[in-house]
Amino acid sequence: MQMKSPFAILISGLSLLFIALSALIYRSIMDISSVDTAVPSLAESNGDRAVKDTVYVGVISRFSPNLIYEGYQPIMDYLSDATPYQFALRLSSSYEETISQLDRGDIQAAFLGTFLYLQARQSHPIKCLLKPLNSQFQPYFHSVLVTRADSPIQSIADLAGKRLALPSPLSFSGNWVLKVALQEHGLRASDLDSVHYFGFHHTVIYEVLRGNFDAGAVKDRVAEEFTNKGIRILAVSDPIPGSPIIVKSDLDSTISNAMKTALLKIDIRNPEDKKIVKNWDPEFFFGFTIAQDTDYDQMESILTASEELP
Amino acid sequence: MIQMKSLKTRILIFLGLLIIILLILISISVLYQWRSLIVENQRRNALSIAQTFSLYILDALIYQESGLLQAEGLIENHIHNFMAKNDQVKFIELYDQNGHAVVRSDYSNIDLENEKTGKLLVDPAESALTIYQSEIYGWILEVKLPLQIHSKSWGLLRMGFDADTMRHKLNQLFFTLFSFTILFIAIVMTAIYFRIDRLTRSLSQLVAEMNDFDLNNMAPMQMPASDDEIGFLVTNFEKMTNRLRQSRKQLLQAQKQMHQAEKLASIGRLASGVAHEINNPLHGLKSCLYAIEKEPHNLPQMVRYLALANEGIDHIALIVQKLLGFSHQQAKQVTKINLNEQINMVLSLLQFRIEQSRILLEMHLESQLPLIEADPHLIQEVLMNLLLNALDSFEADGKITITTATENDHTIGFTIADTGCGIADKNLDKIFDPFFTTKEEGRGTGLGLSVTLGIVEMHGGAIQVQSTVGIGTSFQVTLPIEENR
Repeated sequence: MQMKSPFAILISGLSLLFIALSALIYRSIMDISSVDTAVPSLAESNGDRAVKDTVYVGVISRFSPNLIYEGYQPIMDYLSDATPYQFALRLSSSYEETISQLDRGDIQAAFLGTFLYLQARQSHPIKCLLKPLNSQFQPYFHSVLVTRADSPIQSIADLAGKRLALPSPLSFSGNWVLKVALQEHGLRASDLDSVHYFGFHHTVIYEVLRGNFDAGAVKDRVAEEFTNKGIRILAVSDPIPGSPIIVKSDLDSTISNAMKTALLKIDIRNPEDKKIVKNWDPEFFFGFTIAQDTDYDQMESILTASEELP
Repeated sequence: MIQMKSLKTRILIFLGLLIIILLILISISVLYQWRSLIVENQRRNALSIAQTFSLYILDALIYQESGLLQAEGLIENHIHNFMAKNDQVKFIELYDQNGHAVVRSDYSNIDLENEKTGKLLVDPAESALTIYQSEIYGWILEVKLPLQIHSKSWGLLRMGFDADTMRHKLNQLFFTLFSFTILFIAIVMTAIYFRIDRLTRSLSQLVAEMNDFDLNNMAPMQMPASDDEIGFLVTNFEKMTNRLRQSRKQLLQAQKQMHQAEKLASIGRLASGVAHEINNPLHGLKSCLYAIEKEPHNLPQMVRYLALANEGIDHIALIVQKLLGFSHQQAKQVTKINLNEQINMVLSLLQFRIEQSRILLEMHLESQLPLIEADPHLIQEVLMNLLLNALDSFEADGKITITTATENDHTIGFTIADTGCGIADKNLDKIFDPFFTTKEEGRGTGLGLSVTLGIVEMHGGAIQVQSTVGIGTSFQVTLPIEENR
């Protein structure tokens, strides 16, 4: 048998080593299996919340449902953590349906609009609990009239013959434009080209931005989202008492008191509280104050005002 | 046959291994980085698609829940259309808040009994990205996303994306890099092999030139000029050979001077014998001149005495001529000589001293001794030195034996043996050293045997000495018949 030279043995050994290494690497490269890599998610853990009595809270359909969940669900989570009760949202397809839910007992509390509250308190057993503060820590908001930033409309008087977009007929903003703002400038709804109601405040803005309508009325909190994004504010209402959180009159006072205590505790000047409200709807960033039914009496006139008066 | 111990092989193996290891490390590093990029890209892509799709599903669920949207089979249609337009997606499944499957894109492999019993299949709050091999779909990248806004949950979306494409890309990447590595190693190793071959060939050529080196050959080295270390080596080797030639020239000059000094010393040692040789004919001349002066008219006597005087003068002239011939300093001149004649010539110069010292001279000269190529003057010097040393070794009477013989077709030899005092063992190794002498100061230079050895070796011969103190000494000299060139 012929002996191989050391060089040949070395080369053979190295070649075998190279092939073995290549096979090993190939196997390692091709094995892509991985188990349960955590992925980033918008979701928050439910935690280990104990089973509690559930308080259902309604929200008028002022925004799209997902926006409502984004902005209001964190408030429910906060209340669930800060009180002995579990709070859950129940959305509706319209402003009126929220009132129906209250009547049916599907919900025990609700975020209502100012106009709807003024109307509903007359015939439904509800009472207001809290109202939100604005950025100046005042319990007011404003309705605003907006146009596209490049629109030639410079005042409400220019709206004659123009197309107007409004949120729900039960929204304060819509009623303010038709019953107050236009009349202050000697116009009536019939002087306009057209008036169209949309489901959500945001839809009003989008319609104006798209040029389908010349002007629209929304809550100031919505208009601020679109500042520097193509929207110009044409007119601002007088201060209006903030949209109230109401409860059914027969709701156990311990529940309503627990809600009041928890929400009144929020003070965003406190860094811990600032973290809590981070994901809340901007209307509630600055906390709440006690609301009395009488706070809204001054606005009663808007209920009786006619759209067609001079 | 590749020799493991050769410089070429060792450099090749060392550099080869170094480069192969480096290339493999680089390739592995690149491979794993690209693998990571491909996998990460696929994961991001799948996650992005799943998150976007989950927003649609979530909106549909919320709108349906709030009564704003009531359309039959909306989500099923959406899933069907989405999968029809996106072949990466292998399956989509929707689970409710309790973990029950409510919508599936593929019911073909589902056990409906399990579905109906409401067995909890997934954790609706668990978001995860998993890659695994499915029996039905092959390699799958699965994304599970809770359909949730803050703590409000509508269930969980589970989407399976094709991961075989990713493995195909990885397979291509591996073999591309593998081929590239092999090719690159082959190119680099070939380049190194030829570069080293060129280098070692220059070294081999230099070694061959060094082997063929001859101090007598003044021709320049036949090496291609180069600016590298080999060129530097060649230049320095040439400088060294030049220095060697210069040294040899100086050595020859010194040897020449040494020979002459030794020769003059030998003449000194011959002086008394030569004086006696000249003195005898001079006495004869004086007697002849006295007889002629006494009887100037005896013509026949005058003629006879003048003839005797003339013979005496010729004898003196012969002695002087021999002495001049011995002392004559000239360059080595090789001719064909008869060693026996050279021995007789030297003995004639020593005749008086031999006769005077009552020494018996015994000659065994081979009559058919071949002629040898040698310088007669140098050979005479060798003979003279050895015979003078033999004569000096006697304190009283003794015997000198001179033998010549043909040793083989190429060599002859002669031996000069005496029955003198002999050489002590401790001195035997030193007798050929220059300036080594055991004689009293003024009687010897210590150069005789050193010069003798030099001359014999110059002719390509050798000297052997055997000596026993009190018994005698024998010098055996061998000389080539034809001088080695």
